[in-house]
Amino acid sequence: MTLHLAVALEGTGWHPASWREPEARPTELFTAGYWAGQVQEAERGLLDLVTLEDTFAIQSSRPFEPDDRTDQVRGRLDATLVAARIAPLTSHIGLVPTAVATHTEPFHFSKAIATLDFASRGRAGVRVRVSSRPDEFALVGRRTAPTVGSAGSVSAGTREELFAEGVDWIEVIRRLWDSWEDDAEIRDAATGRFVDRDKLHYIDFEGPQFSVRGPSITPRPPQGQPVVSALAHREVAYELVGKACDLGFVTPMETADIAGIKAEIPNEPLVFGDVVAFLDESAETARDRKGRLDDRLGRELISDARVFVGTPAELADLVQEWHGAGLDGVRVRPGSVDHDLVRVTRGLVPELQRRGAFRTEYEADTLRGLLGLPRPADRYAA
Amino acid sequence: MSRKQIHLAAHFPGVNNTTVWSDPASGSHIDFSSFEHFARTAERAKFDFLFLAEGLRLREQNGVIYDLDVMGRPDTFTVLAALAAVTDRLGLAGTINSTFNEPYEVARQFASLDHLSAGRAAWNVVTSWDAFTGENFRRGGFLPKEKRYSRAKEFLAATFELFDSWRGDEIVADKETGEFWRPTGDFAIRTDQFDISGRFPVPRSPQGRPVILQAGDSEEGREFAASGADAIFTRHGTLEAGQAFYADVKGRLAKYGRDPEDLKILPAATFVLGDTDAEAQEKARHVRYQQVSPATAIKFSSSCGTGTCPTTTRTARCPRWTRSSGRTRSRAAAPACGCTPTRSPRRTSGGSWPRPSSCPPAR
Repeated sequence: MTLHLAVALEGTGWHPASWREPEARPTELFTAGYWAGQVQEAERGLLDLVTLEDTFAIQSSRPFEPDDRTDQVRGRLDATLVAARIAPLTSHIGLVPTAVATHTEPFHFSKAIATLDFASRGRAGVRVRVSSRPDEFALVGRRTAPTVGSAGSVSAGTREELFAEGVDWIEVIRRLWDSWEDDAEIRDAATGRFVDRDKLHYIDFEGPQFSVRGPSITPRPPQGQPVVSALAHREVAYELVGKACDLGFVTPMETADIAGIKAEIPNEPLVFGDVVAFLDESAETARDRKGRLDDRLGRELISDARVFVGTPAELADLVQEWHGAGLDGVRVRPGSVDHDLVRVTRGLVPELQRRGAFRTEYEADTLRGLLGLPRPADRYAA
Repeated sequence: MSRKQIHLAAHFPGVNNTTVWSDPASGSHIDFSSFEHFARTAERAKFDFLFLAEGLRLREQNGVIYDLDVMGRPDTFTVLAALAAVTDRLGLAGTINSTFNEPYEVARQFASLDHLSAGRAAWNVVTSWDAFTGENFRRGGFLPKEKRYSRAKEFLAATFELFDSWRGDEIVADKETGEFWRPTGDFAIRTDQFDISGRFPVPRSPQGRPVILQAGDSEEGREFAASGADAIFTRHGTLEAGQAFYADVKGRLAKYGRDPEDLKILPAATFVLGDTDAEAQEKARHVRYQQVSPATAIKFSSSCGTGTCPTTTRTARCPRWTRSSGRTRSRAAAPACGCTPTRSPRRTSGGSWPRPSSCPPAR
C-alpha cells in the first residue's frame, strides 16, 4: 500500500505563537508570493497535496464566537483563490482549499473547484467544512443561527442537520461536475451545433436547504471528479467522509485509535492521520523550541490532533507505524511553517525515501492519479 | 499639451453566436491555456485590463438548452486569480452578479483577488432577477424585477463598507511585544435586502477596493453607474449617439458629489483588421458568414419581429431587447446575457464591427 503525505498550510503555522518565531514572515501572509513559496517547497518534497485552511469568519480562539485577542494571527485570504493563484506556478502537487458548505452556494463552488482543476490541469480538490458558529451565520444573514447551549456546543439534532446539509452540498457539486459529459462539446459544423444537448444534464437536486437545477456553466473538469475531502473527529463527520468524500483527515492520538476510527467510516475512502509537528535535528532542540512557543502562548499547546515533537527520523517512525496500522497517509500540520515545512520536505521525506517507503519522483500528473484513484465515469453517461 | 490617452480592454470571447467556433483556430473556450494566451497577449500590448462576462445558467430556447453557440465558462474569481500568476500589470475584471451572491462573500473574494494580484482587481456589477437563474441557487427566484437595482446599490454599498472596515495600518506584527494586530473590521448593515453583522477578515487591499464597472444602458443602469461606478461600458457606436450618451451619464454625476472625470466611458467595438481596407472588408464578410450558420439563421428568423429573445428563459424575457431602440438592437450582435438580436448586425465603416462585447452582460 502506497504511503501518501500531505501538508496542511495555516497562517504562519499551527502554533498560535508561531508568527513570533525568528524565521516567521507574518507581514507577508497577505501576499501571493508567501503561499506560492510554501506550496513550491511542498512540491519539491514530492508531497501528494497541500490543504489550505479557511474559515468563513475571521479566526478566533473561541469555538463559537469572535475574540479580541491581539497576540495571534487574524485575517486571511480566500483559500480557493490562493490555490488558483498558485496553480500555474506548480505542476504536480494537489491543491486542496477549504470550503465552508454551510454558507456558500454549491453551484458557485462546483464551478470554482472545476476551474481550479482546469487551471492546475487536474490537481484540484476541496476540503469541505461544516459551520455551526453563530457568528458565521450572521455574516450572511440568510437564516437563523443555531443556539449554542450552556455546554458550549450546538445540540446533536442541529449538528446532524448541518452535516446532512454538508452531504447534500457535496452531492450537488459532484452532480454538477458530471452535468457535462466529457464529450458534450462536439463542434459539429454540419449541423451547426456546438454541443450535443443530450450530453448536458439537469441535476434536479432537491433538499431541505437548497434545490439546484443545473447543468453547470462549466464543462466537466480534467479529473472528472476533483478530490473531495473533510476533517472528521466524531460520528456525524465520519459519516460525511464515508458517504460523500474520497479522502478523510482524522485525528488519532495513539496508533491504537486507528482501527476504531476506521471502523466508524463507511465505504472505505482514503484516510490520512493528522499530526502537528515540531521538527529539529535533535529532539531536545525541538522540545526547547516548542517550550519557547508555549511560553509565549502562556500555556501548553492544545490541539485536536496528535502533537509530535522530535526529529524527522522519529516522525518517520510514527508515519510508518500509522501507515502499518491502516492509514493511507499522514497530513502534517507544521507547528511553525517557515521552520517545520522544510524539515518535512528535506528531512522526513528523504528519511522515508531511504527506507523505501515514499516516492522518489511524481508518478502521475493529476491528484487522483497520485492518490491511486481512477478517473470516474460520468454518472449521467449512457 | 499632452494628448489624452486611450484606455483599452480586451473581452474574452465566447458564449454567443459571434465566436466562429467552427474554425479550428478558435481553440478551446475553457482550457486555461486559452485564457493565459489571451491575457499575456493583452498585457504585451499594454492593455488596461481583460474582461470576463458571466451567465449563471445555460441558455435555453423553448425549454431546451440552446446548442448552436459556444457555451461553457470558468468560474470568474477562480480564473482571474490564476491569471494573476501569469501576468504582472494587466487589470483583471470579472462580472459578478449582485442577485445570486452575498456581499460578505463577494467582498472577501474581491479583497483577496486584489491582494493576490497586487492591486489589479475590477468588478463588473450586474443584476438579474429571474427565477430561471434562481433555480441554481439557495434563494431561488426571490427578487422582484423592480428591486434588482436597489439590491445592487445596497449590495455595492455593503461591500464598500466591508472594504473600508480596515484602514490599512492594523497589522503590526511586532514579534517583540507580541502585538499582531489592532482589532478592526467590525460591521453591522441593515437595509431592505441585508441584515448582516460581524468582522471582515481581509486586511485592506492594495487598491482599497476593486475598480467598479457597469454596463447597463437603461435609465436605472446609467443612474447606478453615475452613483458609484468608475467606468461604464457603452454600445453606442456613432459619434452622435456616443456624444449624447456621454453628456447624459456625465450629467448625472454632480448629484452624487462626483466630478465628470470620476466616471470613464468605454465604448465597445469588434475589429477585423487587414493590410488594406478591402482586405479587412473581405475578412469581415467572411467572419460574418461564419458567425451565422444556417441553423443559427433559422433560429434568428423564427424570432424576428416578436420582440422577444429567441434564447430567452422559460420564465423571463430579455429586458434589454424588448426595451431597446431599433438602432441599439441592430448594433449588438448578441449580448452575453444570452439574447440574440432581432436583426442581424450592421457593418460600420473601416472594417470595424459592432458586436457583443459592445453589449456586456448586464440586465
